[in-house]
Amino acid sequence: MFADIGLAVEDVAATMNATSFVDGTTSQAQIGMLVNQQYANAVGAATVAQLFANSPGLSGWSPPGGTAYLRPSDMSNGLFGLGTNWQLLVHETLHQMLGFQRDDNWIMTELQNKGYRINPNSPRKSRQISDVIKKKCN
Amino acid sequence: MQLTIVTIIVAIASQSGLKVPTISGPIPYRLLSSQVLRPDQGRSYVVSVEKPLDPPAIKTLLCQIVAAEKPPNTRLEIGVYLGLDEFIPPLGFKPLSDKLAAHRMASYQWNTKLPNDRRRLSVAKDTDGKPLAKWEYHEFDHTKCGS
Repeated sequence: MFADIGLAVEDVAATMNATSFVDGTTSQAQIGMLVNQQYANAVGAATVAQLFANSPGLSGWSPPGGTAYLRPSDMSNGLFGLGTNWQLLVHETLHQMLGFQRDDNWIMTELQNKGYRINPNSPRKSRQISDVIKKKCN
Repeated sequence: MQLTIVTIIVAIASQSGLKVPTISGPIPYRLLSSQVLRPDQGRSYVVSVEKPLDPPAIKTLLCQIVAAEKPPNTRLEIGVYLGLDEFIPPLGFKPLSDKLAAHRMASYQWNTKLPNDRRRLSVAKDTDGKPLAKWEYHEFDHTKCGS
């Protein structure tokens, strides 16, 4: 699936190893510095923690730059929540590698057009990308 | 990092709120964003045009952009948008993502590590500027521009 969005699997692995994954719900990193002030104004949040607080469905946020921000409560899955939501880590790694314009909507539409069972309008939204990663990479 | 004069102008204009200038040529366009990609120092460009383009014209435009920007031969993304006034990274924010999707006309992706990709160029709008029900894919290789 990585090749279908223009990425080589070895680069995904290398980037994942080089990415820092931190708790987004407590991060005081400034969004205006990580992206730009236009984006901070548009989302109405000055810090990453505020962004997570304002966006209850947000599991991860990954502006290219080497650090991906995660919601710790979404980091477990599987039986009794004992497994690690590794597919979310891979998902956020993709955003570290793709340009700003290639967001979840673009990834879902690209994969859908290339035959994957993904619907950008589904209630599962971008979690479908993580679903495909889990299915294809296991 | 190599910066072209155009890239510097884009950076200054986007920070100051100034309108990004139109770059003349066979297909006039505005370069709204230029970004270095991880981990291979590839490039991602966002450009906007004022009129819908057919696939041959899109390929001409891609060659123009490559000639002007001279990206490294690692990885390249070029998004061509119709009538996009400014580029704000969507990063999961639906209103920004929806706006970008509504203007998306074509998208080109190239990776030197994926030499057999036959679907590098996707077209999302028809020649009237209306969205296609399903993206069309075309073969294209920007390294062969001018040959």
